[in-house]
Amino acid sequence: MATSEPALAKRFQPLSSYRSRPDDEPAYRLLPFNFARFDEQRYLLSNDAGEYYLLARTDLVAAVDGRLNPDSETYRDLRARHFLYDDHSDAALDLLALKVRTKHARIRDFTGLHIFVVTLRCDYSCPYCQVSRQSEDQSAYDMDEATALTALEYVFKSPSPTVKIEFQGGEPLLNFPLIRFIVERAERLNQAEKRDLAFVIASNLSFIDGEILDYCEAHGIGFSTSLDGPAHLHDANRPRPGRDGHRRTREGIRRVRERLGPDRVSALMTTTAASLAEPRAIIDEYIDAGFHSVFLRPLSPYGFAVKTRQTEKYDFERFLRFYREGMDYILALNRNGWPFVEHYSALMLTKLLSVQPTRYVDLQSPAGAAISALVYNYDGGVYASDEGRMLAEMGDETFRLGDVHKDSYEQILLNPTLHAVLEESLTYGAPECYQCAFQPFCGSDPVYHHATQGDWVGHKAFSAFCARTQQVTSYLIHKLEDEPADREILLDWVRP
Amino acid sequence: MQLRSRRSHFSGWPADARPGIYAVTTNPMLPAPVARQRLLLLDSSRDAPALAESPYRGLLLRSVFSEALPSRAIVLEPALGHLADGDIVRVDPQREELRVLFRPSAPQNSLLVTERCNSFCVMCSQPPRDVDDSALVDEIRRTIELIPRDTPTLGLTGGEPTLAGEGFFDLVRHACNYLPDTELHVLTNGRRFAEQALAARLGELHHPGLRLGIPLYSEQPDLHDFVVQARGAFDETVKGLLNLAAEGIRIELRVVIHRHTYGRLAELARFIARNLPFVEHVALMGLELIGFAKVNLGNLWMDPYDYGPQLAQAVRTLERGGVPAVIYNHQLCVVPESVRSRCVKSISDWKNDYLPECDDCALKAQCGGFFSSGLGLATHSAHIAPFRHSGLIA
Amino acid sequence: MPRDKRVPLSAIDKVSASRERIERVCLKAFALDTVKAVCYRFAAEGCQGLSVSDDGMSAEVRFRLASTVSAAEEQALVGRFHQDLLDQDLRKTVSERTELVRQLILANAFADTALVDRGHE
Repeated sequence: MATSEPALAKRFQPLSSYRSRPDDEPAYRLLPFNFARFDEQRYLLSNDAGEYYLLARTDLVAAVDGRLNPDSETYRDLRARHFLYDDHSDAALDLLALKVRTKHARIRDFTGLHIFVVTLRCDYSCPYCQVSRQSEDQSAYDMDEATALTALEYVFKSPSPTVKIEFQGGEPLLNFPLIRFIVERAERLNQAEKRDLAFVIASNLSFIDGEILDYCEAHGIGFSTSLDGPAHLHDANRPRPGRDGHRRTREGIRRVRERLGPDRVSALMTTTAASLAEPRAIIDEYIDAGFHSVFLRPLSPYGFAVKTRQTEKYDFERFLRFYREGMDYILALNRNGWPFVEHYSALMLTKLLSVQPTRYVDLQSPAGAAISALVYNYDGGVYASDEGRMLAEMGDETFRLGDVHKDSYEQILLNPTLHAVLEESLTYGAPECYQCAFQPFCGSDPVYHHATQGDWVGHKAFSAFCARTQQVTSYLIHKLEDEPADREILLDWVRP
Repeated sequence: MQLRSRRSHFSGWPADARPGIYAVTTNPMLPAPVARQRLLLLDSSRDAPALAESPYRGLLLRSVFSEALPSRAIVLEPALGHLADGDIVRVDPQREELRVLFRPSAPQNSLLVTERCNSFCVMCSQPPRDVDDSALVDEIRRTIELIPRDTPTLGLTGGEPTLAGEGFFDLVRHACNYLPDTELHVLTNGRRFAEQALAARLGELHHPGLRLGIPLYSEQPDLHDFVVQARGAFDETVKGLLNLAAEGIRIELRVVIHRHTYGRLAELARFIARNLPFVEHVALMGLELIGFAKVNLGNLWMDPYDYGPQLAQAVRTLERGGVPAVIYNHQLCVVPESVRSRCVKSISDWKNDYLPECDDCALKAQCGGFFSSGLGLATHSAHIAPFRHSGLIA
Repeated sequence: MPRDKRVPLSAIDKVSASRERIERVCLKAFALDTVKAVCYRFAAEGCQGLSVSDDGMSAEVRFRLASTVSAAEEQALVGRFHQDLLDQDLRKTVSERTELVRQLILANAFADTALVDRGHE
């Protein structure tokens, strides 16, 4: 490319004269990056801005030694991705600073997700659930209006331009009057606040009826439900008196769609030991239920999961096989003309391919605790995250920040434990993480490490959280770099 | 656009008459204070009002009836016969020159701020000249005052408009005051905005419809510097872009595709999506075969059909990064089908021309065709072919 | 290093029969900090600690391996350990060369000035 023949007119300098450098200067300077062995042939480089690159170890060593040939495509690629710079331009320094800033922009927005636990009552008794109370008629476990009002004040103290209020439980529809109260109050407050306000009910959909659907339509409320797979899987995971959980869930999904439209209900699955053998069946179930995506999440190790020995049966390597099998199947679906997305992958792809910050609470550095989400429990307790609340139900109140009835907003957010957690959860400073090539795509999960290893940072060599990020990211990079057909599919999953 | 008539005939003007900028009108009944600022356009000298009474600055005549011409008359060459009401022209009676500066009927109007430039792009369509043309700023001020308020867009071009220094900011402010509803599209290389204070000054003007069109030819600093023939240009341009973005100024990024820039086009797109995602859109442009592009044709030209894959890849990469892409100056039949919808018919009506094979093309009306100036029709892709049934190439 | 090639955790947790493997690392070739960092990383694969010789010229790294780990797996583990030493040394070089500019970039990133806003999107 671009060797001039015929030559440019006389007034113009050839390309070569723009490439020359004085001999006595260093040819280029390195910019900060981390690296790790990627496969038998290649190493993975990454930097704070989330740029990544694969290259052979010999090229890596040459680059570090200052011996990289400036006329090579490798040099050009590394320069364009800001792994090195030279005398032609130091704009890389400004661009890197800007990209790092953009990646962390969500911190300025502060808490956008506000979870209201309106009741602990539930009609199910799922073995891995940490919080629900079996009995359906104990209103001692319902949130009251006074608590809701104060919590709403705290919601709007956050400067976030988007506010998502998510109702959880137990089964939140069992306290629908309070949901109505909160929605209407929030809308009234928002007339002055003018935030982008959204509501979601995380529900098992057992109690959906026409009145509830009418209300949800009038106020633009969406639903998120749990669908673990076909009936035998779902009902084994989520026991309900009558053993009809799956049927009721499918029926609920159908009713919501029919009344509110196809996009107003989403589903999450929880992977249990039983799920691990059946990724295809689960995905087929999601397709049958009319969904265009699935979120292949590992099981969290808390609460009933520990009590019922789920974590012993549950093995990280098995989850990875499950994930790969699920992805193979999903990619094949796409290749055969049926668009279908895996959410966790889409999230990682967004981190790999853009600087736009993502909102997934569990993959943030510093941790998403309080910064991304706050949980207001039925009794007024405020927690830094959903898992933090679950841990409290098991007797560990580390992540309880305070009480809306006793503590001001400032007192809750200035909780010293919270600050200690946030400070320690910066991956820039954590052992292993600070030098990890996957750092830009990862985050902190202090609650997970606290539950599994007894400290907020954990020893990453023993961390399934760490292993999962590394493995999934490597898998995706391999697809992007080595498999063009799959690459095209995956690129479409990134939301700009 | 500027039509220069070398042969309009000026008659009855004072020997010391200075150049001036005036609007053209066909209305012979304008009140005197306004008429003094206007040139009255008439079909024939026979329609001319009696000279002693005419308050009009001058008379534009399409034809003459007799040898006797009214004073301050300009007999138009046939080429300027299409002059119309609302046009704005510059007349220089001493040089017998008439130049059209603005036409309400034109799809785009651009005003030349200066011919000087601090770059020297190898494919420049408006080759720079190192002249003192600072008088142009005042002329543009005057023109802006005459342009109708409902004009949708106005362009400022050069050379490099920011070389006019204070004059440049003056013009932006003037346009903001006189034409607040008009989009002002400034073509600039953005290099001077590497100085943050200048970007801040532009931001302080708060022009609501301001958009800068800034070229970036490669993500490789040395290659960009080569294309614009200026060391350090990439560095300045990128820093300028960041400073402008910090001021919230809208930016169109322009990429001209030729033999030097097609190879890493997809990489440039990736670079823009990751580093400059704030731009409003990216314009991927074909060579305009005049000026230096014509002079350097042998070195620069390649068949656009041959860089189709890179073009398609670049568009996909930009769009996936949330950056819209448009394609200018390409015939519809030479771009890949997957990106054909991004083509914008950008060659203005007066510059468009077509080949004989285009007569049968089902998409002719949507296609910009070829530049009629320069080598537009002589040098073109080897893959020009008409569409049948609006979709399939014959 | 792809995690699925590593010696599985469960093999170490549960099995009581095990053997020791000692690797000697030359401290003229590698800084002690470098060796420690790699030991930390291999903690989940049986690396139990290190000790430095009296003359400070070498370090002894101790691995405890379950008896179910084959000789081939042990060899592969040791190979990876030494490869990681080289990589960690390279990391040290990169870090030293880029630490200053990294501070500069991060300071600029988090300085209290206006963010470039994509807000119109």
